[in-house]
Amino acid sequence: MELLVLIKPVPDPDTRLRPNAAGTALDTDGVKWVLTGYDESAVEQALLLKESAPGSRVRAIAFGPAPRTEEILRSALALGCDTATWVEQPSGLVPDPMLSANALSWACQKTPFDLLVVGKQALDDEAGVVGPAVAERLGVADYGPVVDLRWDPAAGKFNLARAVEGGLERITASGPMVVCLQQAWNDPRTAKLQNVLKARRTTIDKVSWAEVQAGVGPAVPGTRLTSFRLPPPRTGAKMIAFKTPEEAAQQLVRLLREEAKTLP
Amino acid sequence: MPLPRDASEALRTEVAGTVTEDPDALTRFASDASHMVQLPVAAVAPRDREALQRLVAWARRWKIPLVARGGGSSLDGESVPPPGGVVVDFAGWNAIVEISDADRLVRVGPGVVNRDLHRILASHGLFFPPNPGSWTMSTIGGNAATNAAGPRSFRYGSTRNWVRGLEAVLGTGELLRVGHRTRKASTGPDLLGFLVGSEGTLGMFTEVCLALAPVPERRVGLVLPVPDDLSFRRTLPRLLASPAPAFSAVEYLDRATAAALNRFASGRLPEDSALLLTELESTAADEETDLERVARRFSETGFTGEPVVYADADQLWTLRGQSGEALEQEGVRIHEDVAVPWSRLDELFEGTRALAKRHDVLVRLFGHLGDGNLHPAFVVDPMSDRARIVRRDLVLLAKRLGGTLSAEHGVGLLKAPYLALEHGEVGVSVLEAIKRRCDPDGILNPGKLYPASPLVPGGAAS
Repeated sequence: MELLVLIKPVPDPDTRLRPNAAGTALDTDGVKWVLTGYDESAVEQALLLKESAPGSRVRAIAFGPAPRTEEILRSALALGCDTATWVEQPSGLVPDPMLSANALSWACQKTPFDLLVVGKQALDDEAGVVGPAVAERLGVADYGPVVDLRWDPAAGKFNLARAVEGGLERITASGPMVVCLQQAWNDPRTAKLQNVLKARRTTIDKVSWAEVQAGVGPAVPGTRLTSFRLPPPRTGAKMIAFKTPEEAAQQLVRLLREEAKTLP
Repeated sequence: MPLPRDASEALRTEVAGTVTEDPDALTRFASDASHMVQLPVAAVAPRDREALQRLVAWARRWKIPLVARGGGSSLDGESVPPPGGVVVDFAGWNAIVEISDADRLVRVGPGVVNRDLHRILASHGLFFPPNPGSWTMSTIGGNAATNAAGPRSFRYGSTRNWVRGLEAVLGTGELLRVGHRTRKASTGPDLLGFLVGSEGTLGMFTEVCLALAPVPERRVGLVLPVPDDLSFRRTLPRLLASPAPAFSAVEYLDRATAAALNRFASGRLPEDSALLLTELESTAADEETDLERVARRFSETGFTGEPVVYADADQLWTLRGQSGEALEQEGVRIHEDVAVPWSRLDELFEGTRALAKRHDVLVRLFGHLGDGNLHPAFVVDPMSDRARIVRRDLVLLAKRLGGTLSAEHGVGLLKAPYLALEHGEVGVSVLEAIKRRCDPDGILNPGKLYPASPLVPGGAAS
């Protein structure tokens, strides 16, 4: 079985994020980029499928600027992916999800696959566009958000479960197809030291930006981020002095009405 | 029992800041991580130094004990209020006063939380190395007051090694500034050293100046199984022999603790044996060679299992830091802390398991192996006689093995009775003389650290 998994470098959730001076993007200075969240679950699921169908291979594909993208591809290789493709993103380009989907789908169509797994959204922009858009570009079915995905070797089909309101929808489907995975229903593994070392020596295939443009036409983002800012800082709390709970409640209602104006 | 009305009125008139006397609101100050509980009569968040000095003057006049409080994560009752005591809440003193890249120093308010400081310093390429397990909540003031440490203290040492200066309001109300911005000073005994680890008994810190270390380019966590019959006495010197791998942490977790962490914190630790957790520092250029070399060193010294890699070492330490909470879910109520020299580590493991068996309590073992520092965790009612006896026997075991009765948690209430075992009678009397000079009325955190205290007759020894 040939498996593809799409991943993306995202800022470490533990990083202190701040907008750039112009307030138009994330200030990437000092940001640590990691493979985490939905993407980590997607890699784990691809590896579990590979282990359940001997002879399978997993290729990790990521679109993004160097060197952060190469680093997360090496993380995926260290976890057990067999090969990796870096789709070059030129510095200065701020892609939107559709542009990312176009670039990634160009790389995906170079490799025949049975199943393409992708997190249902990235942990940073949470757009949730890339999976379905890649499926559309490639002309294959897509399913999401998927919370269970298994290979049935006897039937030669995938059994999957979608989370729907109040329950699960169980589906049997044949590849090639795209599956958008829910986060954290599997238990992502930790890389073994020998695999980390091996991953360092693995050659990462590169799809150049020129090749992407030749393939999908001049790639310009269709949307532009106009403003990026932190939530306003919280202002100080006001303590209510009181003798009885009734008095406290009365004061609270008065303040909500007169000062916060959240009550009529 | 509430504050006398006159005392309460005087407090509100004389001390600028927030005063809380409502018992419901005070419950959050009543305990720490030791499970001892004492509701304070009030909590005060003084607005500034002057307000703190006025608070001390007020406390002396009314003979009311004060206990400084940061994150409340102390494990031996250091921040549990003394009976009739007032909590001095420093959580709001969380200003970053100065970051000096040139001098590699930071000056902070005592209420700054460890992890917050870590994040702020990251963009300067600097960090404050001691990382206690409680780093998501513990404060720099608390670190300095207990000489706290953490996994990375294996390479970098305890908080004491990193405190360059302290400003404190003593129990006399005097403001004491000690320390130097220089890397060294040869100007008599170490006054700064007296304050570090003083657990709020000599003064309350109003500002802490810390030395900082440059962030290593690469830090990787390596976890591997510990064979059942491994002798640490024989293995550690070989594992760490020259050319020594650049370990910044060398930790141990027994199998039950690893399993508890996996259940409690969705960890991904192997569960089929005890584990060695290490952090290796490196550079981007050398990392591959360093990892290959350390893999060889592991297998040559008896660690034959395959290491797994935590590319984000902090993720490993945040997980490891939840050991105490994870074990609490499974009934553990005593979190101990002793250290012995490497050559006696095997005896510490054996002796601790034997004493647990003798007293019929379950024990979990984890800790900072590279520092000879174990945190035996016992499943026992913390208020029972059995708990007291288990603790006493562990203290005696550590002392018999040439170790210390507290490596990083402090003395607090629970170990105050044993202080003379550590320092001798003469040593304790010297400490008491310093206490009398700094806190003549015994208002600062009475009952802690010192075996006896004027405000608590007989002290914790009774």
